[in-house]
Amino acid sequence: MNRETLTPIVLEVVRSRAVHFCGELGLETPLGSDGLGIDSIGVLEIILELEKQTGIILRDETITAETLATPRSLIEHLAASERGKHG
Amino acid sequence: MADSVAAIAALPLPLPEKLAMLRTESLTRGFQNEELVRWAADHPGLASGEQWCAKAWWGAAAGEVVRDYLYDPHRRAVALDLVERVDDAALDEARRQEKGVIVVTAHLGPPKFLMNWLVEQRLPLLVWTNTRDLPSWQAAAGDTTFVDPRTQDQKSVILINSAIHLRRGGVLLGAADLGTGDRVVLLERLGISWHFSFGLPSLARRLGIPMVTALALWDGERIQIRIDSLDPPTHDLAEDEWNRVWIDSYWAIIEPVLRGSPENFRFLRQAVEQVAKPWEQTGG
Repeated sequence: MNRETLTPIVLEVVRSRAVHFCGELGLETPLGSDGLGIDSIGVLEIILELEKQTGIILRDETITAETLATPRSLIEHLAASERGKHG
Repeated sequence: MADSVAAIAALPLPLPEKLAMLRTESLTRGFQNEELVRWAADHPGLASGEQWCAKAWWGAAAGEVVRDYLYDPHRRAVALDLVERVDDAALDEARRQEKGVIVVTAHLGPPKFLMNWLVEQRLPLLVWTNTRDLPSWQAAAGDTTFVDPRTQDQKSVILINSAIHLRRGGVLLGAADLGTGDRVVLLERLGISWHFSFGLPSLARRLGIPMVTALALWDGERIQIRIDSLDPPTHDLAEDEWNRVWIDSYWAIIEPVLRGSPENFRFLRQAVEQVAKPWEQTGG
């Protein structure tokens, strides 16, 4: 699964959890309090839903704040995890 | 008052003797602690009179003396030797499911004791704790990872890495009674305001991870490790209802401790702060 395939999935899942956000969701929109206002449990829900929809299971405890910063950083991490699985 | 605890902690005596000396000290010091006396007067259904103040004072003082030992790598085994009884069958049973285990504790009993006991069990352990008062040697040593859920920008990171740790069969230790998570409910129970965090139950609900409660409790001047299974609510409940049922189950385990053993009461921060913290003086 590459970035192009992941992008609409990530945006849709993030949008579904950003219930209080009325603006335009972009790849650089921050997930946290400075953007979509999604709390930690909301971010957990996003990750678990993305795993379910993409089949990419995160296995290493290497998540950082940068990984979870925006839809784009999520896509990059998922894509890298997918490459690692096959690499 | 603080000086007397520090002085007893510094005596060249075995730890059990220091704890016994504190017991004698508590008979007078407990009533001189204005915060304890005031708190007991305000909560007559929970705290009853002179014995309650003495026991609560002793628990606070003894807990800090024991913490002084726990923070010293050369003396921590002496503190851990205070454990007289271990009821941990529920943890073994949960681990046999090979799904990881969430160990939910509460701020009861001697501080940091349960965490240190679990560290010694050589489990693949991830601990949510206040890392600012961990001794540097402990933060950097061993197989245990310590993370601080109070750091706002790290809450999501900690929750997701905890989920990955659990899925790898790890053990996660955290407390649910301080309200350091993002989703917190405030409840009035026993005349006290309690903040419950939903980070740990959220992981359990979403990942299907077994949970146990674990407490290290004063039992006289020895310590009992008590681990109970915490059966999850049925999965078909809506999240709010699931959380409410979960809190009731958690509360059913900690309430008898609050009612029955003032030594294990650790929520009276101002009272505790009037008691010396010897570990701060030794740089533990």
